[in-house]
Amino acid sequence: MLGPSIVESAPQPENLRVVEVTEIPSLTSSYAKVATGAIRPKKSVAVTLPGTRWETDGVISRKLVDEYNGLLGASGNVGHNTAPSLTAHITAFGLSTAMMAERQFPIPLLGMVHLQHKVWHMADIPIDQPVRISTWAQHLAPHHAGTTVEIWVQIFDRVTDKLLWQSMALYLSRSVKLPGSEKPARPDRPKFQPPPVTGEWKLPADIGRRYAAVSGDRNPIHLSNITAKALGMPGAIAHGMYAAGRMLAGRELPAPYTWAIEFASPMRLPSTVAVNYHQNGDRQLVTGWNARKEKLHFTAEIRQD
Amino acid sequence: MTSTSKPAVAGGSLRTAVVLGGNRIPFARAHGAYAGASNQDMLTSTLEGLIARFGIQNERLGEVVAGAVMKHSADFNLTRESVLGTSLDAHTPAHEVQTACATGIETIGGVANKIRLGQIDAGIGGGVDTISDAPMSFNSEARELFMQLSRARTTQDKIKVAMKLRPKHFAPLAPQSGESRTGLSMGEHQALTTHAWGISREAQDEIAMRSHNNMAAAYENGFFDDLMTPFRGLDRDNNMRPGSDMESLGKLRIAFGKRFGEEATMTAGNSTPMTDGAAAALLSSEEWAQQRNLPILAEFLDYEVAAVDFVNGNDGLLMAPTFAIPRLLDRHGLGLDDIDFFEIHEAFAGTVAATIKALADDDYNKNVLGRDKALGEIDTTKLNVNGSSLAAGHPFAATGPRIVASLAKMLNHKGAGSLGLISVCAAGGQGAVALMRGR
Repeated sequence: MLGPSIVESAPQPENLRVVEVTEIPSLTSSYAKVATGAIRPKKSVAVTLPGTRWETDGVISRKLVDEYNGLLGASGNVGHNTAPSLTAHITAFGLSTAMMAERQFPIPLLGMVHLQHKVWHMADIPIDQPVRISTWAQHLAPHHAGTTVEIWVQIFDRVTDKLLWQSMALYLSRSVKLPGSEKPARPDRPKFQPPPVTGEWKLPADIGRRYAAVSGDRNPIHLSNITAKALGMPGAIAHGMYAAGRMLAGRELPAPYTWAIEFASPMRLPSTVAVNYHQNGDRQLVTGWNARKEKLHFTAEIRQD
Repeated sequence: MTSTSKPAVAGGSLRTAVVLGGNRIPFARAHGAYAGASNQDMLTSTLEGLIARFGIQNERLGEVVAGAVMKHSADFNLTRESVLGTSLDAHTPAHEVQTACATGIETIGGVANKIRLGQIDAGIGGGVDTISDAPMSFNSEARELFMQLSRARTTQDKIKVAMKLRPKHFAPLAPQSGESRTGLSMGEHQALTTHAWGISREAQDEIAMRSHNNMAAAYENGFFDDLMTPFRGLDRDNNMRPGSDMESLGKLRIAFGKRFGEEATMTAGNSTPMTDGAAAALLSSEEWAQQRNLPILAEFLDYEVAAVDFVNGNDGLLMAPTFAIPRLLDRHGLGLDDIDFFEIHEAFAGTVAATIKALADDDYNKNVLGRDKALGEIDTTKLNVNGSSLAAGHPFAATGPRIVASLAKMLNHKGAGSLGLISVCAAGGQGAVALMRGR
């Protein structure tokens, strides 16, 4: 059983200029902004990160937690009066996306590929209590298919300033090449050997729309075949973070814990995903794949810290 | 064994709980003969038949305990409502149990325990289920809107909410037999276990064939004459196919485990169909039976429940009885050789075969069950000798009482001191096993 291989990285929020945001912009407005201004000159020189850290006050709302648990079913985080790990991501995602939609941001938002996601769930997150959300980009790096960037989020208790939760999302842009950098070779991956099935997810055609309704992430590639094809996709695909929510459902650990997911290929809608859970010491390893094509969708892990 | 009427809670020793007999209605394939029958209808008829057989009309029993796996929310007092519809004294209390397919063992085990403790002198344990009149529910979005509608105070508010209702909100959700934590149906889970244990198609078809033919023979011999009340035109289980043979079973298509391609083995023939029906058994203390001159068939000695970690794929979903059987036998200092009749509920033929194979497997006993060595072999000539669920069908909660009543009669025929072991697997990775002794 293979676990995800997540880049080794530590948060570097220091020395970044703080951009105070009074209200988290909606994801739809960010997508609209980049869609209308999508034709930007490709930057082949002086690709640099803006050196800013965007911050805002927010709450992980009861409404979001209820809707999230409703979507993920009774085997989600129900029964724990704390926010499910992914509701923190959903709450902060609008801020991160607005930051990436800015003109100064060196990588075009549309077409970014979500490669990996790691979350350090350090403490219980209270529901409907004020939190401080901070997000920034760091570490542009050459990748065999383009350039990667890390988007970090930290969530603090507004009263005690205690760091409750942080995440690192690794994105790939195929259209940006770092000047002067050598393109690394494509790493050798052993051919995927499907593990034994221990579960199965039936992803209905409308699951993209349902996750969009809960998360606010109405990226057209998730909503319908027509809207996905308009953006050059072969058809609608599930939100990667929906897969993360499914693999965490009923398995969130008492804080502190970490979880991570590495995406290998998108999950088309509708489809059936074969799933394997495997306990490996202190790690729960999760694998999702297309059984018919023997194609890996993701590997993930949940680990008690 | 002597008995005392002094309850254990008052410092006395445990009493013996005995099985006097049972009753069921014939089981019917879903959406067929009982399509118009409700759970309450079937349970009341079953109870009334039992009451008539033992002449206990107007008796105040200690308690009637029954349950259904598929139950309408309006049926929250299903058993009490059924009791009120029978000729029992209206002062007879009742309660519900729900632990999936193990419900019927739990209802009888609970009644037996109260009798043994001296809390009650007599009671009925039963179970009923209908697929044909299963509860349907609305999806969570629709439920939320209906709730908003009922909370709305003004007409304007009501209209505002009602405007949000769309046709999709009126599509009912049918109950699922899937495990919510894995997304796999019970059949697919069993297919994983069947494949892991290398159970062949032939072995499973043979179990199915024997079940049909054993049960048909039992009907011919009149075995069920005093265990059944006809219902809605049926006087025997309509799933049963006398004269089942390997050839016709071998022609059936694969129903579960298609993921294994050529190695798939499970068909509609070696899997239990969805079924409607009800069953109940009458238990009491020895004095209660003697005072009424009622025959004692068997003692309900003990029962044990277990659960497995199927969610992480560590155990097979329906393998909990392999944990419960050794624990129960150990507690009584018994081995498999001491048992005269094995009643292993045939959820799937593969469940029976895998259970037998696992109990005889040294590695499984050591690594999974934490025992020194294998519990032993089950003599299959003692297994399900009057047929089981593959032939009769399996109205979830009714299977336990069906088996208890039949086994009590078999043990009584076999003679005093004979022993019978019941094993019932259940959804949620659970299982219940019971031990009975002939009188």
